[in-house]
Amino acid sequence: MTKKHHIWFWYVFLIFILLGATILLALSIGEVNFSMTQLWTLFNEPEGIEYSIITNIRLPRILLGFGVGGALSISGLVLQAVYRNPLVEPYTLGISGGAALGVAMTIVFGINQIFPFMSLAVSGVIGAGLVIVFMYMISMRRSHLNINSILLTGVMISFITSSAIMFLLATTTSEKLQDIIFWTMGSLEEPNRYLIYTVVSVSVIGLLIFYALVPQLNAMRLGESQAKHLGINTTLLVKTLFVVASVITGISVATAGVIGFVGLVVPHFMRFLVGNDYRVLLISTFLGGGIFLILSDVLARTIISPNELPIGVITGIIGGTVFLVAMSKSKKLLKF
Amino acid sequence: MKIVQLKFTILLVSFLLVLSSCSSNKVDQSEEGIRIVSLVPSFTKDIVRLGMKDHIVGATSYCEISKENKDLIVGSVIDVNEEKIMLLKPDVVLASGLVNEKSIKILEQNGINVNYIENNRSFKGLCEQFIQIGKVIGKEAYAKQLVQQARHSIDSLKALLPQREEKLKVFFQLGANPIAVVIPNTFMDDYITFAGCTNIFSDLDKIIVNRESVLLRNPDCIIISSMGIVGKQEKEIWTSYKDLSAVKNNKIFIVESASMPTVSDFVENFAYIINRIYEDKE
Amino acid sequence: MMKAVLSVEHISAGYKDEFMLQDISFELERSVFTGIIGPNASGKTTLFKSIVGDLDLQSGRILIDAQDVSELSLKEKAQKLAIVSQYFETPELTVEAYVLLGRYPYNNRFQFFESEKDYEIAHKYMHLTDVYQYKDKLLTELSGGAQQMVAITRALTQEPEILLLDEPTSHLDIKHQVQVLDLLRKLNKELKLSVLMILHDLNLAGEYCDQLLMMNQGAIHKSGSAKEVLNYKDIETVYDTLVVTQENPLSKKPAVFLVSAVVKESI
Repeated sequence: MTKKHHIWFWYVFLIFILLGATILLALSIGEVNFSMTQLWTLFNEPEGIEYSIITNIRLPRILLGFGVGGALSISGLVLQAVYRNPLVEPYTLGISGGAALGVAMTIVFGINQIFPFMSLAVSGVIGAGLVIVFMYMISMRRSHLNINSILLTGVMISFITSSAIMFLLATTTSEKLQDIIFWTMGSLEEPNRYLIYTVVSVSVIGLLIFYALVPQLNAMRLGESQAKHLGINTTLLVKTLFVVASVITGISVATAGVIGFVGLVVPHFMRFLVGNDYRVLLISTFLGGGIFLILSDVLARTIISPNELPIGVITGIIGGTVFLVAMSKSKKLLKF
Repeated sequence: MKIVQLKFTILLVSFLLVLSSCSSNKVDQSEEGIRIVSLVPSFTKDIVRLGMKDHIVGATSYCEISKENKDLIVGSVIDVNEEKIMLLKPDVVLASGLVNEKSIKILEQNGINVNYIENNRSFKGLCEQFIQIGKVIGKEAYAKQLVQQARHSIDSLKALLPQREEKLKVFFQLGANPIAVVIPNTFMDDYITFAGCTNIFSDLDKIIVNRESVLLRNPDCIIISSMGIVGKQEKEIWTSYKDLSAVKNNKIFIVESASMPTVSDFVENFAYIINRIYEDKE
Repeated sequence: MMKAVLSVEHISAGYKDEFMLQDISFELERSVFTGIIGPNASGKTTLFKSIVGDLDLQSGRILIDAQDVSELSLKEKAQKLAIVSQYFETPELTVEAYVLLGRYPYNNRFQFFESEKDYEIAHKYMHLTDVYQYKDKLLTELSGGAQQMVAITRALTQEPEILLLDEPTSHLDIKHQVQVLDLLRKLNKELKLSVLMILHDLNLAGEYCDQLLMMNQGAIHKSGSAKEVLNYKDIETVYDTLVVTQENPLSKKPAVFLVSAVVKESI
């Protein structure tokens, strides 16, 4: 480790501070606002409606935002590493669409009534997984990955899955319709605590697995063929990355709905801030994703209060605009 | 890069510190007695009809009462602001199948008393719903009385209907592009059957049809649920089919039945409809 | 008898609908500078890819230092074979970081940071190839020739038995061509590094290579020392063009002169 690497620890430390500040912000803002001192008092006297609001309504959302934001961001990051293309992320590759379709089908066929506990999450993972398997198979037809056909296929899959979902919407009963619509609009609202804990755990486990692969990810920056020449089993690496990405994406989409742009924008931003080395980029992206989603949720909750915007609207508009602005200002943003 | 990060963090932290003003909502202690939050527009109407308007402390943005008092809004039907509801300290929250299940669970987790009433769309269901709401807000006897009155009114109106050998065939249109129709087990279908007619789509369980199927079934009378300009356009379109029985009978009219009626509204609408169906212009 | 550093035994490989290499065999001695020459579609690249492992062998086997390549793990193989391609991606890496990646085959599975030894080795080769001056520059900021030197340096940090290069100079101007090839020869002589290189330019091949393999239509047409292989008869047969071969007056290495139409007429 050289002095140059020491700065990485500073970056991560700063990002942690930012995360802490974000969490405090999210806890303090809502239908009723709290100041720092008030928060402190409330934590020491765990009673009353205000305490309930903080621990039972805001805290779970923050936790879920952390898990989902982290998961979607690192999925986008590793997919971009595999394809070495900046437009790649779970949404644009149709993976979110697959998860969405899986969940929609589960709702329509009433499976979530039979297995209420984890059926939606499982179906999300299966849906995402099927798309990934499909993408993998067509990617591997040649000995190297053909990026244009991948992106095009991803877009097509997105179209097909949203059409399929619309078909289901048109032919199903009105109650199920409501369920599907609520869920596709994207929301960090989730009463099932165990589900939230599961999402966060799975995301963190995904992060750890990716970390075990970080040296290989760094070597992949040389391109797949050269990485192979350095002794990396690129086929196994890509398969592992895909599997983990599909699991964490699937479970995130199944729980929080379709939230686009997180996997696209956050990795690019963090690249700009901390550089391209995956040793620092991976954790930074994970935390950055959490920060981004939690902040978006605060906005979603407060902009048209007391009504709430779907979080996908915030991430889409803000994420997209910020990305365009940043892209025009710095060419560095798209380099690998 | 380090500086950008640092600046941003400082900005954010200072913003938090600036948030030192507490602005908890003033909980309105309007009237003594039960505090009601209604998450279903038709329930809100029922509550008002039962004379408990002042006890409503929270409603959806679609409820009529919210147009008078924006502060009552606790969300749209699709998504509900749990924080606001909790701060209102309601004694009861009324919800139906239209309300987001997750919101209901979160409210319950926080100790809020949520009363779930099935959304039944037939007249009978409306009556049961009305009585149940009455029970929840402590106006059961009054609710039952109003329901009885309504039933009596309907029976008397039915008695006035002219006897016909063949029942009139009625087509009740709810929407255009795509065409949405009234199907059985709804209160709108009850308008038709109580009026001694048949619904041309009594065999369906989905509401979307195409124009051809309407023409094939050749209704004697067409009722169009008011849809603004679109309703008038639809009336013109149907009128252009000169061979349609309803056109020959000159029985195409528009009704105001936009939202779920209360029991008394139902009676009023019913009276209006049978008037229009049976007025003879020949 | 010295073990051959590379032993290719009766290999067949190729693409389904295109031609295949059939039954190719040859041996390379240690510390020899060997070139592969031949016209387009003669099988040079196919052979290269087969040796390197980018193409699966249909039959036969390849031995490096008397070990069957297929029995080596990917990392072990990377410790024996280092490859420099003609075109390669230039990520946003500093030269030092790029070169350090060559130590990957020697790192532990979960080794996150390069060891001191890694840095020593990398710096040693960077001095040798004279790219140390660019240590902290981004790869993308360098000229094509310098980038090629850096790529070679990275291959060196792999400390391989044999260095394989695919047309390393074809896209460079003569200054950089000479620079790169001089470096390779220096490595060959000083480090006793075995080198196998595909070359397009026959004169460069003659000037720098000790041994040559001349390919034609998927088979080895001739192999031997540069002087033996670069004779006008074989070149004419394989390249289907008139040439005249002579000795380079300065280096005494074989040189090839092409015969243009005008010259042909005047003869």
